[in-house]
Amino acid sequence: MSKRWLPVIVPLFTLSLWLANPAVADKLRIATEGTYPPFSYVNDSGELTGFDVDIAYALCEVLARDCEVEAVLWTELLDRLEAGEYDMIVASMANTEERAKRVDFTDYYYRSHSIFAGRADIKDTSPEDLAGKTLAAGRDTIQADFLAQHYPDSHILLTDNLPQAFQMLLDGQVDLMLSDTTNLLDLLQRPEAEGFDFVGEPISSPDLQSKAHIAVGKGDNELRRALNMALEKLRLNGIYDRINRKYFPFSIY
Amino acid sequence: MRPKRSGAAHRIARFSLARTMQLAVLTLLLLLGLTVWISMPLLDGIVEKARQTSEEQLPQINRWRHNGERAELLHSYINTLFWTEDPAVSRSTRLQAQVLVHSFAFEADPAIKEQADRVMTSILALLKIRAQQQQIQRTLGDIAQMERQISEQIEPLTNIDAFAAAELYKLNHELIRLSTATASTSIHNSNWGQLAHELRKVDPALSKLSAQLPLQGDTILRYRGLLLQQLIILEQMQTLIAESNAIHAQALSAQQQLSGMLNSDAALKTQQLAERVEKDARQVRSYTFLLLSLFALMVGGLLIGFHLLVLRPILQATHALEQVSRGEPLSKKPARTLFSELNAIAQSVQRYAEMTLELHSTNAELRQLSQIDGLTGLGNRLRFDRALQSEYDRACRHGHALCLILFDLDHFKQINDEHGHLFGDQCLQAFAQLLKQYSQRSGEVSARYGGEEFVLILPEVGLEVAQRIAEQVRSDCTNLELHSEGGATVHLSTSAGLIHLQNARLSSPEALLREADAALYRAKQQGRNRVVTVTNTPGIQLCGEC
Repeated sequence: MSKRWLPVIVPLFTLSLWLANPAVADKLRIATEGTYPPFSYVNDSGELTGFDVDIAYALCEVLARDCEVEAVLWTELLDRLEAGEYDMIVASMANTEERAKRVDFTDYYYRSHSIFAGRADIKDTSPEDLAGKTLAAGRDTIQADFLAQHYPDSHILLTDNLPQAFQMLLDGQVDLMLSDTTNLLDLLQRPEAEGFDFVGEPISSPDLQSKAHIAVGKGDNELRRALNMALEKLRLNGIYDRINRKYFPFSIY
Repeated sequence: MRPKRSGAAHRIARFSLARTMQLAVLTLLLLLGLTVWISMPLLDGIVEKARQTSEEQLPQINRWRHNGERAELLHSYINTLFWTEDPAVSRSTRLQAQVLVHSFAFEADPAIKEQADRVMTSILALLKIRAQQQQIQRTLGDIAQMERQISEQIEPLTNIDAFAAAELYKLNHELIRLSTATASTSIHNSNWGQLAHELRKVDPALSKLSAQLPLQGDTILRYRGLLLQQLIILEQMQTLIAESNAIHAQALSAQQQLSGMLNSDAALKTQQLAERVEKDARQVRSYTFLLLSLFALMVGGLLIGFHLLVLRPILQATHALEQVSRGEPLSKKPARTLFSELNAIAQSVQRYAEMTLELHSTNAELRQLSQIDGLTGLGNRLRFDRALQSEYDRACRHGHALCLILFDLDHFKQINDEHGHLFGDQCLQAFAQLLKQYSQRSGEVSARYGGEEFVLILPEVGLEVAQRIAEQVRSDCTNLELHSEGGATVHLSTSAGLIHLQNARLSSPEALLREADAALYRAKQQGRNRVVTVTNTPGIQLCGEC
């Protein structure tokens, strides 16, 4: 063999080795939100953590795949998944008709309700009572859609993430915010939230899905099925419960 | 006889092999089908039960476990909310309890949500009472503050006797102690009854003091007013404590009811399913075992049956055919078999054997006929040629002597002409009869060579013996007396050419014949009725050069 082929063959050989190794070739790229405590947030030491993040890593372990979890702006999640930058989204996403046109969803991995939070003196949350009041919700969330549809007489303020909305609530810029109970529980338990509380009962409307799913690329049935099986395994082998207990005192499945 | 035999055969072999084979295969298939038919529903049942277990019962058990944990957690929340007097803990616990109670709305049974809401209502009622109690505690603290100020106003009065001063000092001390006790109370740890009792006890002392110190009457009266207010509040507090205890008990009982509703018999159902799966599996196992044993038995039976009823008759027929081909008669009649086809084969073999044997004997007859001279009954020329060749070969192989004598009746043509051909034939027959007597040993052959010429092959004899035999024949011939139709008596005589080889290998059959013929010719030349002998004549070639 002539030596002048060496510069071609060596890189090709290396590449084939690299491709043959599934762990390297198939590194799962996972997107989460990062500003949705306690599901995904950056902790005091600057690490991305939370229920969603832990579940994502646990899934990777079950699937025996390497993975990296990155925080992505909520409003960009679907676009960037569709662009192929990520393989899946683990960000407490509800399965809506509109989103299901763009991505596929796995089975749900936790459930919770939506509820208003605000000053403890507000009691009623009917659209008539809240007419003229300012209501906050996250942009592109099912809560935002719900408010736009059912509270036409209220001012609706959309924020990029929920800690922002909560800060506006504390500052008195909005009267109420609508979010997930588990998320609000985390926010309301902070010392600065004294005097604020859940307002009214959890909203039971068909427009407000209560289940969170993992999103995968449209038509990526292989990954979707693998994730469903992995989720079931996590729930049966106790790892789900361990993660659950780390963030919540009771089961949210 | 034959129809009867075939009728008997028909009666015995009422089974057709093809039909029996079809029946056996069909039975095996049927057995297989039966296995599948019996085990399929059972296996389906097992699959269905396994699916039920994993898809219905297991999630229920999981849910049950989670619900059990949630109910327990709710219990601990109720107790925390009952016992804690720290508003921050109370708030945080209440928020968690609220979210926990919300989560019961996911249960399929709406009654569970209602029951959970009932627990929450009790919790909220308890918290409302706690808020009232905290208000009361604050009011008590405020009053205690006022009391302290008033008691300070009472203190500077010194224009009283020593006894009264001591009394006052003691009373004052008591008042300070009481106001301190009411200033910081604990809902659970303060002894509210004792406190009320002590407050009541101090009132008569104060009224007595107001009589002693008329100037301070107003102040003391105000103090007594505050005490009265405190007493009323304390009573309220005691009522609220009783109420909160009742609500606590109510909340716990509601929580217990909720716990009861969350209980599930999923574990029992799963166990029942598992038991049924086990039972089904055992059944499948025993059926399969049974049917497989039957299957094995049938296959075994078929193999044995095949060996006994099919293979053995076929082998027997083959054996018989081999026997027939060796030309031996059949040692035994073929045994009757169960199957008509094999019976037919056996009978065919039998018939074939009989026919072959017949053919064999006919062939032998024909062979013999073809080598016999029709007139004299001696061997004909063909027989002689073959015999000469085979005796010559034998003599060459074993190296023994061989003698050939050629006879010719003298003046036979004359006899024929004088007495007719029929008489000539009688002469030939008479001579043949004579010659036959000299060819009795094995290997010795007498034959008619052609016309009135005859030949005698004598293997393994010495020259003298051969010459004696030739001479004997010649003299016997002269003694033959034949009577013709015309009444004439005819005497025969014969000339003979004899050749004797001590070692046959030195000559060939053709040379032998030629030399014998030459000797005969010489005998005729020398006047007939004599024997001319030739032995190892020069010119006879060696056998290897033939």
